[in-house]
Amino acid sequence: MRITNSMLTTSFLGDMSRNLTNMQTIQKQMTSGKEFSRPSDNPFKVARSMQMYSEINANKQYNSNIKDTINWMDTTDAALGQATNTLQRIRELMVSAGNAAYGSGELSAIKDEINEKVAEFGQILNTSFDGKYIFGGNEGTNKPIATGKDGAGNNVLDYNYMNYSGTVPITAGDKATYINNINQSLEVEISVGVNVEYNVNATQVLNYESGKDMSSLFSNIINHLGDPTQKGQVTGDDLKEMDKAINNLLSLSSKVGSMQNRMESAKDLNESQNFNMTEILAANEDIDIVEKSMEYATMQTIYLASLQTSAKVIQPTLIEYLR
Amino acid sequence: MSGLFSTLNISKGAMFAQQQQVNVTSHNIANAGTAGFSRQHLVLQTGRPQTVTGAGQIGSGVVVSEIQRARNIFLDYQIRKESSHKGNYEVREQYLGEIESVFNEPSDTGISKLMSKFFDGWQTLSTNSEKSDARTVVGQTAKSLADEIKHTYDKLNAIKDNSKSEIQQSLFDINSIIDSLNSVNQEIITVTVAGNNPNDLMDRRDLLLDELSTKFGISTKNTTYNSMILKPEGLDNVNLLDTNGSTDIKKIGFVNEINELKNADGTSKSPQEFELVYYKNGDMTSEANKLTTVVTINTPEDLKNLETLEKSRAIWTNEDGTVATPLNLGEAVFKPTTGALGGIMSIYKDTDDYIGQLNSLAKAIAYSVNAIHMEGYGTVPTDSIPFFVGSDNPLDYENIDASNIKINDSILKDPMKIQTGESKTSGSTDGKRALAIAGLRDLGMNIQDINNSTTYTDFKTTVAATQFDFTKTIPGRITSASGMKIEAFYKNSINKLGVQSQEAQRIVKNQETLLEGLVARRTSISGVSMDEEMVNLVQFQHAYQANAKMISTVDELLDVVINGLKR
Repeated sequence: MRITNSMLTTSFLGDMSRNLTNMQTIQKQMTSGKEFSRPSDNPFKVARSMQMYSEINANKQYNSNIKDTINWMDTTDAALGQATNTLQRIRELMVSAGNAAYGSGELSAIKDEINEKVAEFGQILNTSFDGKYIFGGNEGTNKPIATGKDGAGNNVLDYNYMNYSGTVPITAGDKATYINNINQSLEVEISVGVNVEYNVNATQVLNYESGKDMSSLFSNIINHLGDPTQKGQVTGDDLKEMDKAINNLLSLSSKVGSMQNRMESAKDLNESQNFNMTEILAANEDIDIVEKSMEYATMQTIYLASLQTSAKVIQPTLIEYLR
Repeated sequence: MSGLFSTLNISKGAMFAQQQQVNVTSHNIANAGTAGFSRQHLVLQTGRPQTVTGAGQIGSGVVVSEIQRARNIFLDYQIRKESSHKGNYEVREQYLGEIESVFNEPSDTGISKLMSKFFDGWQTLSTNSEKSDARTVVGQTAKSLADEIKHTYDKLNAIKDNSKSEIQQSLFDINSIIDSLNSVNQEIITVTVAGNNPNDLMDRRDLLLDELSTKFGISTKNTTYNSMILKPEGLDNVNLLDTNGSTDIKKIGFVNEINELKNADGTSKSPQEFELVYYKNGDMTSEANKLTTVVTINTPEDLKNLETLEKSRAIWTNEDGTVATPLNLGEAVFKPTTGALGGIMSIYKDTDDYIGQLNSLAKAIAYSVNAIHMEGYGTVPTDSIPFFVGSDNPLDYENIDASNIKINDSILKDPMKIQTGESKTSGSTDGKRALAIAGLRDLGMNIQDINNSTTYTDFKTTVAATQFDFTKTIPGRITSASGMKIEAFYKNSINKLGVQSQEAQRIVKNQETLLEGLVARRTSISGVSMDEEMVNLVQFQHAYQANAKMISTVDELLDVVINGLKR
């Protein structure tokens, strides 16, 4: 093949630009720390990275959902514990009321303490967390329970109704809507497509058996204590009902407890998933610094060699040597 | 009868011939760096011999027969074919790279990240629906997502506009190349008819052809008097070169606008009529070049050709730049498949595809979020409002796409209007609707079935009919088995873009290597080698000196004859 001067320069320029392109690629990988910076660098890996990023993002959101839920449930657990204690105390008082030796003075003291405990119970149901009343169901920004006085000056629990329609007195329809809103479960997504209900609402606590609610139980107890003819019921029927109410609370507590356990394990799973995915992501897109440094050093050597050779080869022609 | 004078004559001719050789050598050296130059060399022949009785034929010296250029026409053919191919993919590489930059993925600021943030916002809102800050976050992330989609859409359209003006520029260049080619060809014919070799002119013509071949595929055929037939590849009835002084040649016009002519009441005519606004020779510098013609769509084929024209923007015209009336669209529309023009045309189509996918994405997000946000919450629009809208009008949710997607203004002003609960009266901490919207992230939808004209009603009744149960208060998911998730759909688009762009880069690299080889072979044949020219020069110099010595020898001999014989 006949070789001409321009062939030498052209092939030199072509090779040189290829060398520089390779160097640029490696340099970019070294400075960014990533195997690729645009989709065309490696479409498959970019797609995989995008997939991992969106999964990791979603997973982090689930993680914060789970943590928030755990905090919420801890608060719920504590509140339910207190509520159980209160009921236990009321029960003790009820049992002591059966003491035949107690006169009206003692009974009145018992009645007063129960009255206080009822108010305390109402307060516990109004426990708030992170600006929300945890037993409020869908009406979390409104105190679920109002403690009022009946004609005899005794404490009575009732829902703290919201007046949706604005008519006075509050309509039965509004009351029904409110109770329905309270009696709703709150849901949170803790992993892809897994929604869990995490709250206990005031209605679940109050309605310990279908058709029976604690506010009328409390009224009954207090009224019966004040009426010597019905005193026997306090240690009879009322005590039975109180046991049912306490059982209801205990079963709610145990539900919350098992849910807490589930959340803890969901959190562990979530965190290990996150760790795994981050590892996969790193394997997919992060460069091996040692390998790249070696490649870069090689490229540099080649670049220098081609510069040196070309500088020597291209310059002289026969003209230099004639004469 | 030969004699000393005849010998003198031989040497004289030889000296002229060697001078000519030196001349050609100096021309070669002078043009060593000229683009398109091919090395020339002198073809010498022995002069007509004289027949001498007895001795036979006696030589009469050397004569210059012709000056030839060293050129391999087959290599030219190959190089042009490959340049067309390379031109095509070079343009694709450049534009696809631009599109990649527009999408800006993978990054922390692209659409995919914003989608993540958007759905995260809804997740947070689902457990904190009473908090205005969680609501504001949803409003703002939705706004930045919508803005980014719109921005991407605008940028893609700008690329389409760019490609249009690049077509115009290319057509202008092409027409001026065709003009130069015609004048050079004419000169070549004239010189050849006079019996000479127009080497340098042919070099210039070859260079122009090389340049033209990067624009679109061409086919050439050599004819008499070194003239040439030049046609666009695959178009037998289009002549670009006046082969013999009487060929009708075609030019290319740039079609700037295609407008449908309608009846007074705004309906389409039957058959449809379109007005083409085109510029002679792609020259938009003067309004005098602006011409219009009306085409009637008689067959479905015509409509297809018109669609092609919208991408290629190139139309064959007569030499004076006008088109025939009525215009035969099938013949007139230039549909280059290779070269830079072909590349721009394919990019126009690809950009349209990406815009279409962006539209599908925008529609999928807007329609599905709207469906869950407003269906079953209350009467639209008095009690329930859409989340995304297509204009400032808060009721314009029927037709949303990437060009107009935005978040409902009233939500942006008052984030408490975001509908998170089952109904208006379902309580302030009811986040079930927000949770359902957050769940869209993992819901497979038939996004592929969404096209540019899909409306919200279409979405409800056909596209999402199998995924959403619209009979429930909050439209619930039925199944997520079929269809594509929103993020996966977007990821696929980016993946496709990556593959296309990578392909273009790879082909350009391959073509560069291939062309480098071919060009090396061409320079191997046609290029000037300084060493060779130097060797030749030394040789010619010596030949010249030898001939001079010949003359001086004959001079001495004549001296003997003239001055020596008789004193």
